[in-house]
Amino acid sequence: MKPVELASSLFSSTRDRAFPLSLVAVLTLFVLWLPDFWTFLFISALTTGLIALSVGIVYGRARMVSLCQFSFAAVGAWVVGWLNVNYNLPFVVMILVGGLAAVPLGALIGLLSLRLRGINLAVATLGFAAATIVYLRQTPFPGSFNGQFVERPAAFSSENRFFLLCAVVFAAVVSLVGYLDRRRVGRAWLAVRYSERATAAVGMSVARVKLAAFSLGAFVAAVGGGLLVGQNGIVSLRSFEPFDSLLIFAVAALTGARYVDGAIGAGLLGAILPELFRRWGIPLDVAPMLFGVGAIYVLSQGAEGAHGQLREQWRARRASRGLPTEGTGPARVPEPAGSESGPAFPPSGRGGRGTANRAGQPVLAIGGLTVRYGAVVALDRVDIDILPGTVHGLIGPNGAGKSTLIDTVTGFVEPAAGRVLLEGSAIDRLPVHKRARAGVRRTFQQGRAIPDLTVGQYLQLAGGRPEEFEDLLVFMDCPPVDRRISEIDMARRRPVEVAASLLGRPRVVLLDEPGAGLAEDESAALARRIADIPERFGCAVLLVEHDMTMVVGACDGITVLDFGETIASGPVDKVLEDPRVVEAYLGVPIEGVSS
Amino acid sequence: MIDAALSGLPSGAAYALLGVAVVLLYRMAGVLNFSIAVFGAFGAFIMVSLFERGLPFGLAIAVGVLAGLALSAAMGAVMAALFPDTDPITRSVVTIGMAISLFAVAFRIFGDRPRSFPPLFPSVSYTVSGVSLKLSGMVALGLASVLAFAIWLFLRRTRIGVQVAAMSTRSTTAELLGIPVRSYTVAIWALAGAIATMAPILAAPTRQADFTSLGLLVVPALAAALLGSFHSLGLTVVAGLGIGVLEAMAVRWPAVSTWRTTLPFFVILVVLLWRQRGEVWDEAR
Amino acid sequence: MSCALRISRLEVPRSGFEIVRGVDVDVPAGQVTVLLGPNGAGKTTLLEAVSGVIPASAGSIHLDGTDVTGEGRVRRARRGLSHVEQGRTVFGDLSVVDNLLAAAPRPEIGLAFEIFPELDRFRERKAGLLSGGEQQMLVVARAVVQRPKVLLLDEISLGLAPIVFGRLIPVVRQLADDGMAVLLVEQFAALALGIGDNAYVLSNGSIVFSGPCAELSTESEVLHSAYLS
Repeated sequence: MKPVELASSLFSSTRDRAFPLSLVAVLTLFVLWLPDFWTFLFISALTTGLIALSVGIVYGRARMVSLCQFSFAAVGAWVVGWLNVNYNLPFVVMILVGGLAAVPLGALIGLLSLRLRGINLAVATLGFAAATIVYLRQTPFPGSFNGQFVERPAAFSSENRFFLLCAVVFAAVVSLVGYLDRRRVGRAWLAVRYSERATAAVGMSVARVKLAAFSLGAFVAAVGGGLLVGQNGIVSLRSFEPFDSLLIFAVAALTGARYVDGAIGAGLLGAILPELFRRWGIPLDVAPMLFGVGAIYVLSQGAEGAHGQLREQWRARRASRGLPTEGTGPARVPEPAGSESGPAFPPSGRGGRGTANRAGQPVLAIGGLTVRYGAVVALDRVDIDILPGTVHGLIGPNGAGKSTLIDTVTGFVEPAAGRVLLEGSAIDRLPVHKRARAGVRRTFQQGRAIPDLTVGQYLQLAGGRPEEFEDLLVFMDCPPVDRRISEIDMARRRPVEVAASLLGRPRVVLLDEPGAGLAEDESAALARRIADIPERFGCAVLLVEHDMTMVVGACDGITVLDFGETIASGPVDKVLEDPRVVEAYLGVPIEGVSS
Repeated sequence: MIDAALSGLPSGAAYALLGVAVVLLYRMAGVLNFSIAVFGAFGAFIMVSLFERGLPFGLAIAVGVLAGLALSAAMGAVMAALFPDTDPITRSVVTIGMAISLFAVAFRIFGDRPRSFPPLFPSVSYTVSGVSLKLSGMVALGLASVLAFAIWLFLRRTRIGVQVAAMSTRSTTAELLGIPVRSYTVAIWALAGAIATMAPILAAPTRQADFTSLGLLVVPALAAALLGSFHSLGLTVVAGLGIGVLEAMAVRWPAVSTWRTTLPFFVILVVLLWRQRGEVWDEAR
Repeated sequence: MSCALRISRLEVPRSGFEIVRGVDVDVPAGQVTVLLGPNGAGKTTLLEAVSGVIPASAGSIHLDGTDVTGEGRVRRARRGLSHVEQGRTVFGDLSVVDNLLAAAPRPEIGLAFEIFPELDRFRERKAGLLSGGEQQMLVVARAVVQRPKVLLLDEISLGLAPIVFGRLIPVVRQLADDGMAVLLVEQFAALALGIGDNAYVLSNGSIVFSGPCAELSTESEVLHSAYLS
């Protein structure tokens, strides 16, 4: 990230960040005015807030339950102490190195998350925390024997000055996180929590997305741990208990540490509340009691914590007044397409990488594709050629293997035999996200547009540039860029998913029942749009549908599968009259097809 | 060596019982309960407090188990009332909240100093072909196995068992079929709470018995449940006993003795990663 | 009281929006009552309020003359209301027989294989391994073995091949002829109207038409305007 970008993301005046930033400013002034004792506690609030923020990254965003964030903090603390004893480095550098030192460890746990999910991952991280504390109990803090305390930098030695330093570090970390949030990887964090397949299908590597979340989380937590050392001069490593990881997790869930203000809130609760209790004569252990009960209550109201709920209410109020609700990032209302950046899409028909000069060669050539699930043959030597500029229909009864075919072509399912060529080159060996990047995009039968994103953010995740959005959404008759996908009903999310599949210049898109749940006139309109896709976007289409009017309305050619075998293939009207097709699938001849 | 291994049986049985409680709750009530050992510790501490005040041992145990059962049932009722249609992850996070609150409450009531738990059985041992079998170890082994088998049989062979299995996958659909999901859920929590209380009562006489340690018995129990894939009661029992035995053997092995409590974690990790190697994608299709 | 299910002036909110606005529907025993409407009209929400999945904010629901508006899902189910949800909600890990056992005691589940003999050879197969059509048959059968007085069917055609839906629809007619009160919610009008007695058209949360199915089949502009609005 360039410094300029960092600065602009820090001081940007967009509504979404104005509130937390002004909150920080007011709090800072307030804290500087307080006596040292309290300032010290507010420093604790910032370090705790950083660790809460790390929970907000791993759990709040990517929904991976990590119960070992204090173990990462311990790494940061230990490294700072060790550097202090062995090398004489500037304090901020030590903090940074401490943070970076935790990254490999975070990535290691992240590697686990590629296979362990949900509760398995939660247990593994808790086990990791329980194992680390055994080591930490045996490890004296560097310098603790000869009193080599970590000293604050000379310019920041007073509580007030050190608080300011911590505030700057906090703001820098928040900006870094915010910057990543607005990139594709940030959108993908919200996508993996919903569906890994959908994330990979838009060309994002699930592994990288998860590793990024865990690494960043570990970095942020370790920076928190490092600051803790600076604050106290020395810490006891045995205080980084698994219980603390559980506690910060609960507090982060309570306040909603996915948001900056939620993380600050978590820090304030964790550091200030116990002191207030002490002053008021309330037993200290009432605080964790309240945290637990509070977390349960807040979770019962929704999964995003107190700040998440406040934001929801704020959204709802703005929405009812007709004001824009999501002001950040490239998802802002796009410029009219073509104003400065040229046509948003490749010229119709002829567009794309050399399809024209190899006319007649199929865009996608599926040959002898065979898939077995145990003894069941899901696909049996299926051949389909999809020619440039065409929409090819794929129909068949339930269980005929249509979705399996899409899964296999896009790389989710390993075929037993057969090959898949994209414009003449084999893609069989590529993982899902690389096939997507090579130009094979898909939608899902179940509808897998990411509910936590707005339409614009989802299109960004799919690899689109903001200037492309307006035209595309108008073409597909989708809701506007700032509409949250969770607010769109399931049937109308599918066209949004189709729109997303058209971004990133695909060569072929595989649409799995995009019309499911739509009323008859709506599916007819969708059929017309799908028929227009090849000419407008220069990519071919494979359309799986049950709705015959859609198939008839959109397709140039058609293949019928039954029990994994091709029973007919060719022009639409010919195939639908085929007696085998009628028997296997339609039951009765479709009226109006031959007319 | 065999003697050392057998001395791990009471701890192993405790892990096994807690593991069974974890698996029950996960399979039937859709929640990974991080607070289950805290419920158990509560019951066990109530037992010990009553015993110290002169209540007969058997009665104290009965009251303690009932207390663990009641506490767990109450928490189950909270879960059923507040989180009826919630995903397992969120529910599991809720139990983290429960654990934290209950730890705090327990420190209030019981303090954090270790209590001395009376041994359940007289220290009788029988020598069979040169190996001495302790009564406590044998009973612990038997209790864990019999309980797990009885539960398995009930779930497998009765219509209520089928209904419970049904509600665990689709609770709303189950309710629409007239299955009393809330009552069943609370009953499962209650059963799990009772089982979880037996665990520390078995294990506490042989180890450091402060409230935190007993509450954190959940970690090896989770490990056992993990090895049982959160599904198989039999495997969970075997895994729990195995972890107990492994720990006991490590005590005699100076090189790893200090780190023995971390051993299970690494074993689990390897087993899990190997077993899950095919799980390339999450379940959301 | 001739109506097995009477819905009166029912209002149902969902995440702050009024989705169903003052709807009256009568579902008499022995008839198939068809509820049509475009996507997003509130059909599923209405059914969910009737069975108690979500609460209604105003109005009343009577089952066989008893007001059940304040009761929970389980109570309503035990009074003889069966709601077949959208999306083939089989218990995927359970066998076909266990799916049925979850709903009714063993002596009563034979009925399932009488109405759908196709399921007989899959008795011990896990429901999750059945095809979409077979799963849909199973969820309908699972409701029917409870011998409900009122059967709510939510878009059982969704995602099914026409031939499979064609197999289900005469069964629905037969159930009504045997005395059940059926409320059939559909997106595809033609087949449903073919076997229905009375029809309602829901649009934007309100009933815009009610009358005999035959009448609606001929007055296609009623349907059309409802679907276009």
